[in-house]
Amino acid sequence: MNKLSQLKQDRSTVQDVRKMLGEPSGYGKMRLKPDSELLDVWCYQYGKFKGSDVYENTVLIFIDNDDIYQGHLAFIANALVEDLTSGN
Amino acid sequence: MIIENKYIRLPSIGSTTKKLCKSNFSVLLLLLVVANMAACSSVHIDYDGGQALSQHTNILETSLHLGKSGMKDVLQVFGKPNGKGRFMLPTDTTGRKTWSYVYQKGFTDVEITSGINIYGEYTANTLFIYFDSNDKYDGYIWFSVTDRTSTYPK
Repeated sequence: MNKLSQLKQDRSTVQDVRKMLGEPSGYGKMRLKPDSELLDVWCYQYGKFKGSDVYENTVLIFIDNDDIYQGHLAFIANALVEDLTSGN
Repeated sequence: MIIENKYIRLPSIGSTTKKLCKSNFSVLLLLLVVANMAACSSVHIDYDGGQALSQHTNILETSLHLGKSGMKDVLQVFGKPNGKGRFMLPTDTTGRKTWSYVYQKGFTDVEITSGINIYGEYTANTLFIYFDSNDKYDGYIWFSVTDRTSTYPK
């Protein structure tokens, strides 16, 4: 996630985002306030199992109408997978 | 949520035989369990109710009106939310009520052959709707993701 800081608000392009993160695994839209710009959302999610744990990284990239990077939201989730089939 | 599960039914036997064969049956039971797991063990998750993705933005921009539509209007369009919370960015002066809608569909499979292999795939549609201090529709974010997971290398 440290490499996200290499993206520059109002300057980096979608090509820069693709070069750094590859093709997104999902898309969306965002309008934060009634008078704010409608932004594209590019979503990257990476999941791994380790034993009974799931590690999941989620990165949301915000792109404006001119295909310019405007910001991101990134977080990591670590979830324990319960064996729901046991105990029957 | 649909959970696949397989049951093992043991044959009925007499108490003497039970004592004599207790250890053998433990081994048999273990073998049956391992054989059952080797075939495949699956957990399927399917939360239904997601709107078609292509319609999301259209509905949020036309069926609902920013600054005018209320919570009842949102309920009519999207139904009862999966969760409720608050949202406040550093640039905001106050927090905003947030309703969340999460629709997931996917599976996780476990295969035990020469080793343990866990893999899965799911699609998740996430929608957050924000309300202002007068409980009027104030903004949104939605995104969809398809994720594939695999066994973490040890």
